[in-house]
Amino acid sequence: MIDVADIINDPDYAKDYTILRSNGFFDEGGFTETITEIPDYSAVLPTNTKDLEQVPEADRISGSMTFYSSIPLFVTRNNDTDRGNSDKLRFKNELYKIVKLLDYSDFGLYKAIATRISGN
Amino acid sequence: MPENFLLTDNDLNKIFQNLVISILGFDEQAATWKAWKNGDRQEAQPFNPYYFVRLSWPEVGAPAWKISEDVCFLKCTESDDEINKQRDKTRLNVDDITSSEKVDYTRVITVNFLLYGPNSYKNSQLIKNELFKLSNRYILTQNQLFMVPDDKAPVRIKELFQGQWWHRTEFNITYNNHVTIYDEVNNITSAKIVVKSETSETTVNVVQN
Repeated sequence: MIDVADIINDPDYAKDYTILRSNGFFDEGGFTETITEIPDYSAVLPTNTKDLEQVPEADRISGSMTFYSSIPLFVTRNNDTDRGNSDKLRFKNELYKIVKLLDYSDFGLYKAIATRISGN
Repeated sequence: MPENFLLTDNDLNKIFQNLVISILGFDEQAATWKAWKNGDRQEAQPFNPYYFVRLSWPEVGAPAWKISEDVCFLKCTESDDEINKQRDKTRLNVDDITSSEKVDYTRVITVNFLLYGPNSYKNSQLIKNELFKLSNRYILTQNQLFMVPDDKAPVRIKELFQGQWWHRTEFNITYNNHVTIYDEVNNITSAKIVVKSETSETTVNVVQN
């Protein structure tokens, strides 16, 4: 089987970003999560435009990026031993949350589409 | 000055979350859970009742639940009503210079109970019946929450999600919530009164004894 991890980790394409992995539990008042930071070095590409939305209160910014990784990525999961929200990805000081995940792990990679969550 | 009595949204959420946990019979498990959470967490995670009684609108999202699990979600919001338009003000003397002003009013809080799971309808009956009980109403009256007995039937409509019909029952209960806030205001201790005519002017200083 072809392993394409070498391509996405190639310095010609790859960039540094950090996976912020959530793990937590439900508690009085809501869901409490702790975050573990996992450094990654892989291909990152824009998914769509960075959009300006003018609302009466301010200018709000949205957008999304596509991240490739040979490290397993997660959307929100609910297992008895592992419970957490979607991975957040920090890239160029912006924070993105995974909303779509394509599991190509048989070929050595995960592809994630993540939406910008900073809001401003 | 006395302390204000104004429940925040977090206060309301916690009051109703813990009450529903108690109604569903999870008191003991809640105590065990809190002890584990506040301890060194060396032992395996115990049964967590807060997984089954949750608050809607988790800020950063939250894992969902399984079709086989009975989970209750709560929303506490304020509703408009004739009663929330009236404010009673009382002036309380503190000393010669300042007074305390006491403002009383009533907020109307709607609590939405949304239940999923095979026992969602059964649990909706249980929660509703228990909320009418004097012992549970007493817990709420201690927090100045008074049930409005305007009973509406629970809505039981299943929900289609990813090829399966999920049990779902929803109902609302309304509470009048008495709010008291205090403010410090300055007293008028003296006044300078000037009486003017075309030809003369007289000044009188009035000072409180």
